[in-house]
Amino acid sequence: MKARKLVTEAMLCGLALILSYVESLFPLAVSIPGIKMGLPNLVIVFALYRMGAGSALRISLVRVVLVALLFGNIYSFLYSAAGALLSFGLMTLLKKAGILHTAGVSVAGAVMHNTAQIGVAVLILETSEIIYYLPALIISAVITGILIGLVSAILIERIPRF
Amino acid sequence: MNFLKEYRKDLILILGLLIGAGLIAGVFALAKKPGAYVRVEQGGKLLAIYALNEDRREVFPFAEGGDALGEASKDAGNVLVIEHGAVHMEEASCPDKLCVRQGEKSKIGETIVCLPHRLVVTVISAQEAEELQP
Repeated sequence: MKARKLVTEAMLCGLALILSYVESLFPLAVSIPGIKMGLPNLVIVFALYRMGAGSALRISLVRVVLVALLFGNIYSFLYSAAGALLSFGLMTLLKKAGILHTAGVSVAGAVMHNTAQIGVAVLILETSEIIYYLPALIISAVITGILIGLVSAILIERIPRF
Repeated sequence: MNFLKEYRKDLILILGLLIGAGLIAGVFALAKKPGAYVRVEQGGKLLAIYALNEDRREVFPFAEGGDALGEASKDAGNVLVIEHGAVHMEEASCPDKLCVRQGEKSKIGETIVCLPHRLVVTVISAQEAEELQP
């Protein structure tokens, strides 16, 4: 791997980490766990489009591990790892398929992320009641996914090539 | 129109997801089973379990922050009423009265929450009530 690429990935990873922290400071809805702005996805979508799937995956995984080590525990790690991996996989496929704009890809990723987290929560908590949150989480993911996708599209276009 | 054309597939995806979420919510609402008991908790501590088939009116004397007010003030706190197989909060001495506005609950898993008094009322099944009873 070229040093330039390594450094860029490391910097984007740091940015994603900070955005994870920033978003934890502003919870959107206290009554429903798991509703988040999805700010780190800005970085992942950007990396996916500008640097390729490999870079996006590395940034996403390192971010998940660091967030778990710094702010979380083993359970929060499992939630976010499942969400990050499945959302990354779906976004990569959809980007390759080339039928959707960045906003659509981001929405699909956000919904996948929340659905995966609910799935893991059902397994870990051994209760199915948590599934009642699914509709609310899908709707919130659609809204935040659109916003994140539109902002990402601007960033992908406007940030100069490095 | 250009916008619609350009983002057509994205819009279809978004609409599809929203309709899907609506359908899932609808199925969940229909699939909810009627409960048999209500569990009253304050700050995670179990206070009482009442059967939904007996009408009653209970006063929980709590102040802001969840401190007990004691016997002296029978009017402050939360007034829980069970009527016609459903539970609702009739009165609350908190400023926002959100728990009163949450209305009647009778299905398993439904809750009435009074955040200022840290009071949580949950409708539960007969089986769950049996497990909780000493």
